Amino acid sequence: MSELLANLALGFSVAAHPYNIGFVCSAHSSARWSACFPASAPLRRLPCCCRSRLACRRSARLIMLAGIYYGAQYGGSTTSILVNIPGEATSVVTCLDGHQMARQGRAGAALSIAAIGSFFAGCVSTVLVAALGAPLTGLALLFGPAEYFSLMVLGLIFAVVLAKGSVLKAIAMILTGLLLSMVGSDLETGAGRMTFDIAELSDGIGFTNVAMGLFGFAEIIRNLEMSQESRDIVQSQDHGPDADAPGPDRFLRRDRARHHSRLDPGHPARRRRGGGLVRGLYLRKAHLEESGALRPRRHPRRGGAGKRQQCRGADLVHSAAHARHSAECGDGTDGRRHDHPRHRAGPAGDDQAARAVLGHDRVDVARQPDAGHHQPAAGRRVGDPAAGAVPAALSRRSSCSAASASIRSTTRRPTW
Amino acid sequence: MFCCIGIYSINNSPTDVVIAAIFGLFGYWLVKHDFEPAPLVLAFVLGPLMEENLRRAMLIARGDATVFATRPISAGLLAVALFLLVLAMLPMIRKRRDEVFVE
Repeated sequence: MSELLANLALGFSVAAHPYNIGFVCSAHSSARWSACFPASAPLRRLPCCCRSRLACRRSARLIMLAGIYYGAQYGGSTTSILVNIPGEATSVVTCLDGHQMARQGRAGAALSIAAIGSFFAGCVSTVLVAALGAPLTGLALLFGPAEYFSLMVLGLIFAVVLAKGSVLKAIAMILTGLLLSMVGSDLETGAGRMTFDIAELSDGIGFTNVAMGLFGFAEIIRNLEMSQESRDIVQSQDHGPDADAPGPDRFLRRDRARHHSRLDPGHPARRRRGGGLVRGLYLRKAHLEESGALRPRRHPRRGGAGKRQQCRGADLVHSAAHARHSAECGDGTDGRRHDHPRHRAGPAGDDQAARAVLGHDRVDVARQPDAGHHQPAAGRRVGDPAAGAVPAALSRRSSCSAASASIRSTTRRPTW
Repeated sequence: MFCCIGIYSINNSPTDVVIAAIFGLFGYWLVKHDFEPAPLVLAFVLGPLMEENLRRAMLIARGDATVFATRPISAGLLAVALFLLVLAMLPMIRKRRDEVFVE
């Protein structure tokens, strides 16, 4: 135990050096930026950021590399939350919850939850692996191929159970996915399977292509199909159905609701550390590949949380409280909007900007005058990237005055 | 557009972009018909791993499929999977039974 503490202390003393911290910050931010381009896998992002690495000390180099790696790894959550396009396999899950939150105008919260969650989980699982790694490796050794197979079956069943909609359809999807994954060369004989003699298919279908197509492109097509009106990002904040109903204890209720929503997202973080620990054991066993085996256990659970979010969204739509809220906003005397501007402008603005940068959403500059003049129609969209200079308060007020319009857009259901 | 650049940049292959476009249409169709793409992606990721481990387990057990049921951890996991599946199916079966009763 004392040895463990001494080792940890040594590590932290090196890591906490300002010189190293500076390096890790710069590396991390550059990697995060590069991660905002979807479909560029973390490992591919590494060399982009590594150029400047050669000039510094050895420990600093290592630390910088770690910073780049984590920045690139977790930067994928940015695109998956804001525009529902997972950059790599690990951020598919973030899409489920995160994008729904972004749609409810809580993109900022979703981003911070993703960051804090991964930070917390990373710290806890690192400490656990350091402390319990050796004894638990024996447990990991009990896992042979048969156990891995069963574990994956369990994961897929989890995905079926927690998928919304019909069980049959989910099973059909699983089987389709398995079939698609069989495309390519046979593992042992090397014979082509389902390749139709197309040379490009002999390597299998890339995961990125499938994920990009299914999530990214499908989302774009769906967005194109929708009318302008329904495409807008929902402006109302999710404080729970009754949070904004008028009444003497309105502020109390709102605070309680916010407190609740703050507590609530703690779950993913807490859940993650278990998975992280087991994953760490896998890595310890030097079965790098098999670390993927743990994914199903994380995916479906968070998928379940996504369903919760959607349910909550549906509640919001159907609650009469929301209608009352719109009436209340009509006269512009609602205290909420003015009290908490931070919560309002940030997420939606980020979202729009990111969409525009990634070219998924047309920027409608013509609307901007609307936003300035408190026209009812201005509720459609706050924070056009082009309108970044518009005082946030103005556009915020106007969005509030047209809450009825935004309610209509609230009814847009999440699709998966 | 950035998606296309990203996809192209991974392998420098235009085929990847075409494949992604096909999957885009497929995904759109899925969304329209209330299918969920998430399980598909999950199965796609797990497919090769599952196949590899299945084959390895079969090789070790010399083709004896009962190995999944005889090893305790594996059997436990499979039992949980079965239980969950039944749990998921239960409302469906019950609903169908209700329909039968109504008729």
